[in-house]
Amino acid sequence: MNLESAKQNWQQIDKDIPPLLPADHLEVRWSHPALRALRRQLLFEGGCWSFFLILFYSGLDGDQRPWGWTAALGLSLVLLILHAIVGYRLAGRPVGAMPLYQAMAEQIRTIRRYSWLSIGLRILTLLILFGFLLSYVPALWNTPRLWAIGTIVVWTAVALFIHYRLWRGRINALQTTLDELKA
Amino acid sequence: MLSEESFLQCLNRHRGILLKVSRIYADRPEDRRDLQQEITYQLWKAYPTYRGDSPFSTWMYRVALNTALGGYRRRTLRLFFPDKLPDAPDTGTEDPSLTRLFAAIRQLPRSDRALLALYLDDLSLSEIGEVLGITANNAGVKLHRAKAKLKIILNPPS
Repeated sequence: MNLESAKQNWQQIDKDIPPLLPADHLEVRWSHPALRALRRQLLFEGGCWSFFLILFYSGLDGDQRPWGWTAALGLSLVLLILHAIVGYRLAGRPVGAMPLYQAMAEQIRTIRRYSWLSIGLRILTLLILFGFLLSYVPALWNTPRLWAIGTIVVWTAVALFIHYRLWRGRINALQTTLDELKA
Repeated sequence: MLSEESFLQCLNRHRGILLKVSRIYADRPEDRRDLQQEITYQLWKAYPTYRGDSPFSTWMYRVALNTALGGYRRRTLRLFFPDKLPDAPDTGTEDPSLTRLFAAIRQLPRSDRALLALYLDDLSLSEIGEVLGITANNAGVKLHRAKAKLKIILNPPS
């Protein structure tokens, strides 16, 4: 196949395909599949954290724990929910009609900022959660308890590392395309 | 007056761009449908900023490519050897040479795909440069390389 016939085939597409957007489907079309999935995730996460707080206060004597840690835990959960909302807004923000190179450079800057916020917030939340849980454990320094705590800390570090790798992969993929455009 | 109706008219006139961009950046039909919806959403969001100083098709390409290339959430499994799999056309009646062309373009780096899409739609080098945010000269050099790669894929040396 030569490029001239490829061009003809390519331009023929505009004539061959039927209209995409009948007027009665407007409402459906103006939604965004990634946003729908994120909205579900946001509601699920928000519900889970709220359920955790309610359970904690009503079933696990949360009101009898040190108030400083309790307040910090509440704050960190609120921050996690805010973080999910910021992620949702980021995914749905208009990409605009800037030239591709500038749009991608801007996207990488924004995602890099958000990734640091995301990782930092998760570390902070987990530190508060551990501090909170440990603040009420009697005989904390017994060997079996220390092993259990050590295991949790290691698994958490692994989870954070995976989270970091995920963001680094996303940013690198965008950066590769940007570098290709620049080369 | 920018209205939904006028937007729809423009979108329908250039609906081929939606299909072309989704075909060169998504491997599976369901991902293409998702990408088309994302692009449509982004076009609608950006429409109030369209001033008409460039053709609607050029503007639409800018938004569509920004959406396809700027996305960072991978929803489905990445195909590592897509060139080894048969390409799935969106309709059962598609010309086989067109299916082959899309499959060939998808084997190229992501920025080359954008260049070739614009070239195949007969945009000038300065228009291509304007869409991609690079100079016309740079666009010319890159396009030359991308065309050479595409020719090799379409006509492999026996």
